[in-house]
Amino acid sequence: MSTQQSVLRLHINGAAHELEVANHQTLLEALRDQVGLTSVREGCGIGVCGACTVLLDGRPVSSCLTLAVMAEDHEILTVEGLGLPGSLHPLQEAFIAEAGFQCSYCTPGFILTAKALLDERPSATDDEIREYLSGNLCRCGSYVKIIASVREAISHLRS
Amino acid sequence: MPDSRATQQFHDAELKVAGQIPYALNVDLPRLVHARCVRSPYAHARILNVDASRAQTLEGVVCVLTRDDLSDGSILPYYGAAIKDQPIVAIDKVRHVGDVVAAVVAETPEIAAEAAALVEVEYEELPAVFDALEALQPGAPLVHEQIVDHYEIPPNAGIRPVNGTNLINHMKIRRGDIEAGLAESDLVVEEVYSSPALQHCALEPHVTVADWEDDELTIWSATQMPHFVRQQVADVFRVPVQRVRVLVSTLGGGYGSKTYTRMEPLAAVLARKTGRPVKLLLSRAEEFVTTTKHEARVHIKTGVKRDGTIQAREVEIHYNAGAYADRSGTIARSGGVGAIGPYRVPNVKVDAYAVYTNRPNAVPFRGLAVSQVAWAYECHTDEVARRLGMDPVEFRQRNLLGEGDTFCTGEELHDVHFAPLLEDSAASIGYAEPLPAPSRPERVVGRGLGVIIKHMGSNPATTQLQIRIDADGSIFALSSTVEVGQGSRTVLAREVARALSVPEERVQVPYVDTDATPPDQGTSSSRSTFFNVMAAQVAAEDVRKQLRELAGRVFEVPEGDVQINGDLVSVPGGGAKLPPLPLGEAWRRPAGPSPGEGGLEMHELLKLAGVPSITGTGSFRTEIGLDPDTGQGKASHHWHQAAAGAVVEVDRETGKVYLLRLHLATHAGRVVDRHNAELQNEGCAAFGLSQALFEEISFDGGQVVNPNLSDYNIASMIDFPAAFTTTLAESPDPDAEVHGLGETGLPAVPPAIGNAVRDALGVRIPTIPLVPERVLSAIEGSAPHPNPPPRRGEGITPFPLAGEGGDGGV
Repeated sequence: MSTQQSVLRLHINGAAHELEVANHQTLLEALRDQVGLTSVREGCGIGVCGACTVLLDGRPVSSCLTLAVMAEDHEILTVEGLGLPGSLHPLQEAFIAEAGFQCSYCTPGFILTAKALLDERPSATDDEIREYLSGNLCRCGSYVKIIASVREAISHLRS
Repeated sequence: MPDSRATQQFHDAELKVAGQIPYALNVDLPRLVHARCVRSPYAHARILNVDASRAQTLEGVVCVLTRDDLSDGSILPYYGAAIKDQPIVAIDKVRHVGDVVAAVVAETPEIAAEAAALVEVEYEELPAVFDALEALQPGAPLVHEQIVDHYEIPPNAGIRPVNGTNLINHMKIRRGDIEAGLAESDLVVEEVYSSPALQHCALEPHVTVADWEDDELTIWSATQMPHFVRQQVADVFRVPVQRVRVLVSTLGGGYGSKTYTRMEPLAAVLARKTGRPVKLLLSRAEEFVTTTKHEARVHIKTGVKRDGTIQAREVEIHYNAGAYADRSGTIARSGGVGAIGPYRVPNVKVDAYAVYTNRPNAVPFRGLAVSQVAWAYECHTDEVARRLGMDPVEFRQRNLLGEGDTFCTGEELHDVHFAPLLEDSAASIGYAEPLPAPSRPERVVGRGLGVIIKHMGSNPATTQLQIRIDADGSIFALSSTVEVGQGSRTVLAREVARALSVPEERVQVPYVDTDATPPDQGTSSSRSTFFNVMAAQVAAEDVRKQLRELAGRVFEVPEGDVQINGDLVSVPGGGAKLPPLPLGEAWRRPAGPSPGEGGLEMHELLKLAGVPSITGTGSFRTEIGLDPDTGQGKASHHWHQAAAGAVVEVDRETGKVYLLRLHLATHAGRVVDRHNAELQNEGCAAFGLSQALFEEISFDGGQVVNPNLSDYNIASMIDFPAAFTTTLAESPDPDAEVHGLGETGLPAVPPAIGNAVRDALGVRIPTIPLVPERVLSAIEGSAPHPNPPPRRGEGITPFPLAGEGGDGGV
């Protein structure tokens, strides 16, 4: 297979990265394998489960369906950029307070989608939360507590 | 003041929300290479030739493993949980579509995938069998020509496979006189229920990294059973287990799919052949041909007296095991034990069969074997009540097992809570109130309940737990229980702290390392929390015994004078020889005025004694035993109990089922961590409703046609009812036995939904999932919506005459 390589400048979590990637390489592969951002995880590989969600200019995208070359000139946010242990974002704190996870394979995707929701609609209702997050799958079935986590984040961010 | 931010629980939670959990998926090593399986396109075929020459010439390919590599006798080419019938790569024939025929190792996953397509395999197609009943017919194609005296089967496997057939195991229960019981009944109802093959769909797929260094093998794997993997891989290479080390961090979900041995033998053989660390990561599509849930057909017949007393129940179950036995034999046993349900039945006959077919391997799945039979007996029990003209709840209450009653295995049951769990579920869905009005004229509303009994699995089983206390003050809970999302590290830290009476934040829980964490049967069957709690108490007692010996020596007093209170080791009667300074500064002087009173913290005592650490060991084991011909004996140490209630609205034009309300009540005994316990119930509810409404592996012959998360639907947030409630029923005794919750509630959910749909439509649908097509065809074949059955308090309507009110029963 002959592959065309490109040198990309990607803005990831507020820092510039220069990567050499094949043109067919996905953003998921670039973030995981080249930048080492292991919060970005493949679940289904076809944009259905949301485990690989990242924010591109604040909007959630499936990084398994996004080519790395398409992400140039956009701001990419992964959950590492949101907050790490010791300096967590209120949304992450809310997920801990309300226990909104089990195995947590899907958790970074849920938190990033929730971030996009709250940026768009800071007072989202339960129905809006359910609708907005329905593109992320949690096989462990932590949905009740994920909704509670987002609700908790809303009330925290409002106060 | 306890510092919740210093606990193992908080530490894990921080890693989880920051995406920093070190899954096996993340393992990266110098010189790491990537493997890809070559898989069979045929369901059943003899292998004539495997030609890897083209694949081998591709740049970047490191090696191709074929059956020729397994033929020199240096390794055992088979593995398997009970019968070692699964080849590392196919040897004489392939037995299902997706069976592994060869494997390619290359510098990148892309090259490995490209090379896998270049391996040329010549097959001679053989007749195949896909249905468990057909597979038991004389003359059916044999999935394995010979089983006994051909494959390794441990003597205590508890199964009886039969050569020349596809039978892995036939489990029987015989109690009372089934013929007489049916003959004495006023009404006999006979039905058939079925449930399909499913896929676990853990979002983290199976992934294993294997690396040989000299003669030592290290495996990083997403496995629920590290010590089992260690043993089986050691068996493959015919080396002592000490030469194999299995490391497991946190799994991205398991639900049974990562039990026993999966891809580890192949990864280890590839690493041996290449001399480099090998990563084997399955694709989503490969998951669907690697592990599935047993498709099951349940033929059930119940005889009742006019007053609603169950006289007899006869059940025949066929579990489709797929191409390799795995645990199917004992799964049939577990399903057979659970097949009668939580009812007092004097005359019982159960026959449960686990059968080989040319389908992908069926393995343990959350709700082990019981969800298939519970779907049958709880829908059936509902149906029997309706035919009797009785309220289904009242009928159940009349027959539910109570304290001291005898189960179908002959064992006397204690700590029995079925009746209150059912009451709780009925009350939670407003069973005594009028049905809510449908939201549209073309829709109908109904409600239903289910109540189930489930064994605690993996019996007989052992767990060992160690508590290590270091002189620097560290306390470690060492266990090989795997964190799969259930919060096992929280439970271990909390329960070891409880057993030692020290603050929870003092206890750390390292990840599983078979070189350091003690043997454990595996993280499955809702048994880990209970077993670890029991073992922790024994281990803590061992720690205290060692501390008393040590203190007796150091303080020069009889051991019996030493008291241990939480972290403090003291000699209350006085007379202890005081420790020298500077350690003496740690000596605590409580109220007592006399010299020699007071004490030292545990680790200070170790320092004083010059002992770097002590390790207390605790084991817990359960024993069961059933007579193989009668099923009489003891089937479980204690019993898991649950009930569910559902309210649905069904659209008669589109066939769509809307779940309006769902309640799940489980008996929890003692709750160790409320959030995690609730999450288990919520997870069981999500699995249960997903199975009732959406999930099914679709096959075209032996070929899975929906091996992806677009065509195979699992419940999302929007499918989960906003009106969900759950009850964790706790014992008033603060030291009550902990009951596992990982699977307990699940089997109650699909029949509750199925009964609600029956209630709404007036027609029984005996097969899940209740997808619109199936609902519509049931509506089309049915009479108009009849009157609802009587409700509690309305009394029993007249007994129906023969031929009336039946939906195809006897």
